[in-house]
Amino acid sequence: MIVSLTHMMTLSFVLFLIGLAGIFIRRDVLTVFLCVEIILNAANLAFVAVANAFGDEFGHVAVVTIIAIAAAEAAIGLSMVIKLHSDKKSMNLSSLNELRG
Amino acid sequence: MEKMILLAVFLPFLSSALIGLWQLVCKEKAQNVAGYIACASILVSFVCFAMLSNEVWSSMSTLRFELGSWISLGDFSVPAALSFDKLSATLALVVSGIGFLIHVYSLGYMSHDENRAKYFSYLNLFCGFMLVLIQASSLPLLFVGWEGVGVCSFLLIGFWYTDKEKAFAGRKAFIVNRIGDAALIVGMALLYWVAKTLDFSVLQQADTITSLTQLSSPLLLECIGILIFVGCMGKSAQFPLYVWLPDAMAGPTPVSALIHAATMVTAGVYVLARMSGFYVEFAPHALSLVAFVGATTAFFAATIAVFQKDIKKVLAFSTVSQLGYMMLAMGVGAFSVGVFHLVTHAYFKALLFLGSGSVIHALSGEQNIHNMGGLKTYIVGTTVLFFIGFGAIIGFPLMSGWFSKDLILHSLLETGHPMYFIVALISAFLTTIYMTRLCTVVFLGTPRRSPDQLRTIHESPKVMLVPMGVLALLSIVGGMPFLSVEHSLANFFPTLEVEHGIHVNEHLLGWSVTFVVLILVGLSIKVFSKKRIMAQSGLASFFAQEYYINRVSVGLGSVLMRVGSSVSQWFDVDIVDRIVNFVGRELTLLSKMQSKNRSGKPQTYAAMIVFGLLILLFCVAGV
Amino acid sequence: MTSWLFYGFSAFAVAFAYLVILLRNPIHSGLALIGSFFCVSGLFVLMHAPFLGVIQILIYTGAILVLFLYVMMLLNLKEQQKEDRLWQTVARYVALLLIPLGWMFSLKVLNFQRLVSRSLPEDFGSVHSVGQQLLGSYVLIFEVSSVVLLVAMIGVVVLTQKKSMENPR
Repeated sequence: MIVSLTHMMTLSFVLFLIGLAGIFIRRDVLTVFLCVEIILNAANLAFVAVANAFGDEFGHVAVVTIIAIAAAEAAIGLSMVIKLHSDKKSMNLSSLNELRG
Repeated sequence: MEKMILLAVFLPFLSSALIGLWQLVCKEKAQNVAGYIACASILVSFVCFAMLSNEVWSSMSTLRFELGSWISLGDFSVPAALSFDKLSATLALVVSGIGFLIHVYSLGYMSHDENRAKYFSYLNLFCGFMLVLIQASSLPLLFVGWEGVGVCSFLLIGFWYTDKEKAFAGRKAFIVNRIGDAALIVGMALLYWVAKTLDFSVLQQADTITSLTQLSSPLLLECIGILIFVGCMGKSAQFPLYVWLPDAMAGPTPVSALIHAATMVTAGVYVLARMSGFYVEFAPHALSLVAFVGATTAFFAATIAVFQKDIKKVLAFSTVSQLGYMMLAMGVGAFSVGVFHLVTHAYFKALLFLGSGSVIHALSGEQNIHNMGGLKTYIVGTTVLFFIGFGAIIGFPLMSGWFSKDLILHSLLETGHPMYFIVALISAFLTTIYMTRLCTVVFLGTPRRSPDQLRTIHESPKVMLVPMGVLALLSIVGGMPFLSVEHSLANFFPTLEVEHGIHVNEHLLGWSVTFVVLILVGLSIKVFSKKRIMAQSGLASFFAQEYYINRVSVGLGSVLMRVGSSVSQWFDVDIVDRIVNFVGRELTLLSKMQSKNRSGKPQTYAAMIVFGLLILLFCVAGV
Repeated sequence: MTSWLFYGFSAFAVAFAYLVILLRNPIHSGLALIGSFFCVSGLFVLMHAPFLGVIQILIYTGAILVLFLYVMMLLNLKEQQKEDRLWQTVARYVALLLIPLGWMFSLKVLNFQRLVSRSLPEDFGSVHSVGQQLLGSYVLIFEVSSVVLLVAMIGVVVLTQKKSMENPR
């Protein structure tokens, strides 16, 4: 396999950009969460690539941790979504502006 | 042979799970059969242990069964292994033997309870955990059993949990034990830190000992010893952590007999015996603390017991006092004597508790001894059996308690602790007094119940009397054969160096103590059959209220809390609040200016984050 | 051959990720994300991380994303994108441009000498060796993440309680 680390980081970066764009473009909470998952995945990819390139398994440990944290984040996020749905009957992020100054 | 250990230890767990699941599935059917399954499993377990003990005692070897690796974390590993040597053999026989008798007794005692399947499930679970505790080859595994019996004790004390007070007693036992357990965990961690092992057999090895003496400071080792002992204090109800044991009498009486007299509360003594090598080698000062706490407990609990009016409370404080005795023996280095007393105490205290259960059963739930009196003509069998237990605990000649108690007194002198000897002697006399009082008030004299109530008194069924009979037999003859066991165990334990031993004739000492005790019995019968000492005079209520320890600790807590709270209130209102209000006011002004810019939309915030990130990135890249 | 696999997976991963932000229905988005994750998992396997590949599919896709889909279906989401403003609809397609832009940018900026294919030890990234690392040198991270999960669990319980918000005591 002849792939340079640069290519892997590029892929990671592109995925990150897509996720970031999604966060700004999309309005409904769930899709925004999905975009956050894309970003986390981009980070995972970068970790694994570096771990591979440097022969250090810390990257793998980090990815396992990120997955655990993503699980926690998903659980909390989804319960908030359910709460939001029952309180506001809306999934739209722009309806969440109570913190307006 | 090794596999038999596994069978014997896990059979109670198996049957507990079986009964537990069964009574969940079909509640009605399980109730009647559950008790028999539970008894059978313990009986099989007892037979296995009998065979194993025979093996261990004859070949002087240690059986060890590897269960595999339990925790393996980096270079920290805990192998799970059950080991079976003389000490565990003695204890395992006591636990499974008395456990079996009490299971049988429970068949009768709990026969009217509608949740008895659950009861037997818990009781079996308790036996299982207790056996794990005894058979564990390392401290962490012992701790599993330790916590397991704690849980079972909690479940069984609060067995009638619909009564709020009983549920509370269960919680109290659990929470007080937590204090000790925390200390035990810390001690365990420290011990691992210095010794790199928690296995008992490895801890006793010569090279571990030499490396320990070279590597670590004596102070740290003493601390470890004290911490582990604090754990034992919680479980073995030593002063001042004894407060849970009297309340624990809220549970069914067989539970009090098994858990809070014969087995679980002796776990602390067992741990000290197990770690005796460590204590003798590295923590002699911790050991003298053990002796001090034990002597204190033995004395104070005995004085409290004299003034209690609940039949089970008297026995509970008696248990605390006797546990203090065992601790005292441990503390002066007479480990085998302590274990010997543990065994004989298990016999006669279980017998006394079962006897009191039989009395309570006969009187349909009456526990106040001043409402009893003159029961000897109504429940003859129970009376005879109870008096046998009485004879054993006060040290009637040639009964089991006589041997063990005199050995303790003798060893106190032999190891050169005359002060402890005097305290122990006084406690022994106090024991005589309160036990005589109990027996006199309950069984002798004139009945203090109305004729209607007297007519309902009924002797307990055979299924309850027979186990008591066996225990009575053991209380009578259990001392003699165990003398040889004690001598054999003595080689098993390390010996503490004695500085100023006082040598006295063992027999002379024993008989003279016995003489005084018998005189005391006569005197006390005279005193107590005439006068009812109620807990009304100042001194008596002082004792009856356990020196107000319960109240003082609560009161002290609340006073401290009030002082603390008023100080902190002043600090909070006059200092913190002012600062906070000032800062808050200024910040509000500042943020009012800012808040105009906040849209409240999450995505705007996200955009700001990205913007900040970009700036950061350029800074980093620029450098 | 393997490099072709690599580029293929990469292309699909990016394409699926783009679909996530393109599609209107959140459920479709979620399904697209599953596709993307499968491709990433393939990449993990190619990069000597078989354990992570499996984890990615089992936990990330199988548990977390399915949980997402489950919630979407539970809430019975209709297409809510009708209220999209014009710029968002346009931006959604314009976002496609990000792919070549990002590519070019990073190829210009990043220049790593190393290759993602080196002769690694046989058990690199295997369950055994990752487990050794996780419970050995990095045991603290492991413990902390378990605490994080516990806190998340408590948080979820508190959040989904019916009355917790309305009348706090």
